[in-house]
Amino acid sequence: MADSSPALPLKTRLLSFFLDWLVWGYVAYGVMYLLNHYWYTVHVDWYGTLTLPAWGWPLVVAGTLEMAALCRALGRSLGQRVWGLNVVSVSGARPRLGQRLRRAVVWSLTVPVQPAFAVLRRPLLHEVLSGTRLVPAPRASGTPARAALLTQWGVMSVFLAVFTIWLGWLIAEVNVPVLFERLRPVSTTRDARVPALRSGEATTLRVPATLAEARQVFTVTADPQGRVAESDTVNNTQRITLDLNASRPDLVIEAIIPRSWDRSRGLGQPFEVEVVVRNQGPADAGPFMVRLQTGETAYDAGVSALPGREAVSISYPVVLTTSPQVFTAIADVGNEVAESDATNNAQRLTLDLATAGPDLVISSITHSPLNPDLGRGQPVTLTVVVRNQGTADAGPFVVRTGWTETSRVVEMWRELGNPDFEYFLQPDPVFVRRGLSHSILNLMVVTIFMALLATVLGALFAFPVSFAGARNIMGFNAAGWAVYGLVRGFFNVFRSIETILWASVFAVWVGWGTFAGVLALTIHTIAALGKLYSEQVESIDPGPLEAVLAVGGSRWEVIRHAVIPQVIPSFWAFTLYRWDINVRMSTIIALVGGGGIGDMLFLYKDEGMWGKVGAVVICIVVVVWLMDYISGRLRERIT
Amino acid sequence: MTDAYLRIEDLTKVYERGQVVALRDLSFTVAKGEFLVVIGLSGSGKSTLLRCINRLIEPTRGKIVLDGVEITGLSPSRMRRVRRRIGMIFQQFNLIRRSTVIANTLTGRLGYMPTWKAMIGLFSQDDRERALENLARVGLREKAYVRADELSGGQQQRVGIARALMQDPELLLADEPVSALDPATSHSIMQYLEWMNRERGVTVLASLHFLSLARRYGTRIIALKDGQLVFDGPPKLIDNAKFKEIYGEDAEEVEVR
Ligand SMILES: Nc1ncnc2c1ncn2[C@@H]1O[C@H](COP(=O)(O)OP(=O)(O)OP(=O)(O)O)[C@@H](O)[C@H]1O
Ligand SMILES: [Mg+2]
Repeated sequence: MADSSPALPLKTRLLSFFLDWLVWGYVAYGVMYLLNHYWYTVHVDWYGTLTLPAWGWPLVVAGTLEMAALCRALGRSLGQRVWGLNVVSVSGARPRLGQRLRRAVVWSLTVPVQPAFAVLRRPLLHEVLSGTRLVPAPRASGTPARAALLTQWGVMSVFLAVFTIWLGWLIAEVNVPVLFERLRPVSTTRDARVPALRSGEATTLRVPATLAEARQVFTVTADPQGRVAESDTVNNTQRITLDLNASRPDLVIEAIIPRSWDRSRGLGQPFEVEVVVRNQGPADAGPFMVRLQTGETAYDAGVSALPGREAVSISYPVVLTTSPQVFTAIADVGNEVAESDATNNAQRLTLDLATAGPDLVISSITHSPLNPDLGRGQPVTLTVVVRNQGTADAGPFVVRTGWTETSRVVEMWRELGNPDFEYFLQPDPVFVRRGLSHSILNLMVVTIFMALLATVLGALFAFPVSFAGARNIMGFNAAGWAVYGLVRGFFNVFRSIETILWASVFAVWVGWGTFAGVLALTIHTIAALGKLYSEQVESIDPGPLEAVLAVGGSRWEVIRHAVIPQVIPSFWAFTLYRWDINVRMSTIIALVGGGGIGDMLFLYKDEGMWGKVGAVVICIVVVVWLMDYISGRLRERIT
Repeated sequence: MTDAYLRIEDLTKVYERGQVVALRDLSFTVAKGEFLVVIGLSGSGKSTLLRCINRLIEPTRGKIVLDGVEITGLSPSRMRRVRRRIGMIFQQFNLIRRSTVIANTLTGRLGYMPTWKAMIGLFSQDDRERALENLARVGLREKAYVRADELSGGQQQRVGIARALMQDPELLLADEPVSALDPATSHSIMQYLEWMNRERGVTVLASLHFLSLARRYGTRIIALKDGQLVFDGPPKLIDNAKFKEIYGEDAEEVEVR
């Protein structure tokens, strides 16, 4: 039972085991999560999460330990692979399955006493009883003998990948359909109830609506559900187009009223049809022609002028030739008036000798004044007049007002693709009002200088300090180690606080603006470059140091003549690389008050001015790409 | 024994890490002008011994007296003044690979310069001329402005020699100066050391792997085994038995021509 193999350090054994255990801990967590998600919330009438009872925890711990142990005994586990370990039988050959199983079982049964064996450096029971041993594996044997996917490594990789995607999908609330939903236009409707409307009467409704677009069509329909048995159901809809930037006339047929008409007189009777034309727009119209058409016959009348919101009444002498007979009135048949909406100019009336019936029409739609300064999204009140032009009363019905806005997302993309460079050279008045002369070019220069200043300052600070953060320079006495620890601690802590967080802190400290941004960039640059520099100093060839010491050089001369010449090229490369990062970072720290081109970017974004956002983004891309190219080229030259 | 140039008494070095005793109560003297070759197996303590002499490694115990001055107790600044007269040549040359040959050579003067001049790299015109002269001496005058890593191994070691020459050394420590080089180049390097020893009167302590080289160039040989002195005498006294004692029973002498 003599175990002559070189003992595997306990630390390595434990670390590699811990990694395997961690994997199964992760799986256990995921299983709990999935249980909660799919089972408990569906099958249990109880809101809340699945919590383990007290006795559940030991089970989870034991289960995960067991799984890890099985993985380690039956094949080559992740942890064993990472630390380059392998299970072999005492003879050095591949262990048989029986041996592997024995290893796992004995291990499981003896877990509690394992630490004692390990500490006392006794051969571990499961190794002795199974005749196997965990040994450092030569690197070359890492090549899989079987197809890669059939090894434990392959199976676990695929499983963990799928498992992670599944869990992550749920936890991060991935919602792919919304990507497409948000591209579709959005429709809004408002219903107003009308309890009753007598024959020949009209009622006025006020509909609150929103002007979602600069130019928007509102459609109003009487009785959209078809509850009323009308004599004519195709004339129930009317529309109005509101245009924020243009004040135009809009002619509609408000009413078509048959006068001195009697059902008992039958066909052939002459009578008059009164057509009321309203200009529902705010601007004046005229001259134009109004036509009344029935069958092949058309009667035209001229209107010389019709002021905004006013109506004019025209009478046409006609003869009833058939039943039912359709009369269509059209305002501005010659299309002489520049209207805001030229598609809402016709209305019709159906006369029927046989049956009486109600006939709902939308007479006119007018709107409260628009305020161009308020822009899109402002509230607007529509005044809708509904008339029953039929021969019978109409029961309860609704009047539906609807409008459609194009998807904000589509609009954003359209505008982004259509960049607006108006303020590239010329300062944007939005900022001029605040006493700032911000044009894209202007701020872009500011941004580049912020990055440059931060890089230069950061490098100048980091350079001397980085030597204090290098083990091979400082590790000569206790004081040196203390300084080393402090400096490295500073680098690590300050580096892990992102620039954007530093910018928020400095924006509070010194106020919003470029100074805060430069401070943030500089601090982070010092820490990040300092760490890179220090590591570079640590990785130098110690030979030249020895040589300079041997000729009688002091500690400082060693740094100057043996360390610096070795590290300077990589210091340059790191600095240029950092310059890259700083340029990119400086374009966005304005988000938290760091100043620079982001000031424009985020204002435009907040205002939904995507065209301007597009212009700024294009400029940023060009500058970042240029800087990247330049620094890349310089780096190539140096190393 | 007051006429000894270098006297080593009971020198012991214990590396704290691993508790390795690299040198064990080592005592010997070196007269001025000697070419002393240190031989011994790998791990016998040759490098440790040479580095203790200029205190690149701090001895654990014992005394080193150089030219009547006890080195072991010197303050760092006094030690630096001593070091500038001790040249050192390394197995791996220890050049700054990215710097030019002349820049590497000039570092040999650092011990003679005020610190502020050293820090801004302000070498005097005199130093520069001396550097070119020394490079010419080792046959590298035309390579002065070439980067060190563009030279061959033998050429790099010659830069190391030029750097040591810059110090005007009285003593030269050479730690396996030729074990990274091929036999022909080895001889050329050893001849430079021999020249320094004969023409310049520099006392040389060189550790070598090959006994043939030790015999050819050394005026005296000492042999170390496990940090202890197992031989001290002229080269011709090393016979086959002695050789087996130093290098072990299985060793076979190979010759470098
Ligand atoms: N920095 C160190 N820390 C701990 N032990 C060391 C250190 N340097 C050397 N040793 C040990 O001291 C002993 C002597 O080493 P040294 O380098 O002096 O031998 P050497 O004769 O020069 O060998 P080589 O011919 O391989 O260069 C060796 O056992 C070595 O392992
Ligand atoms: Mg050595």
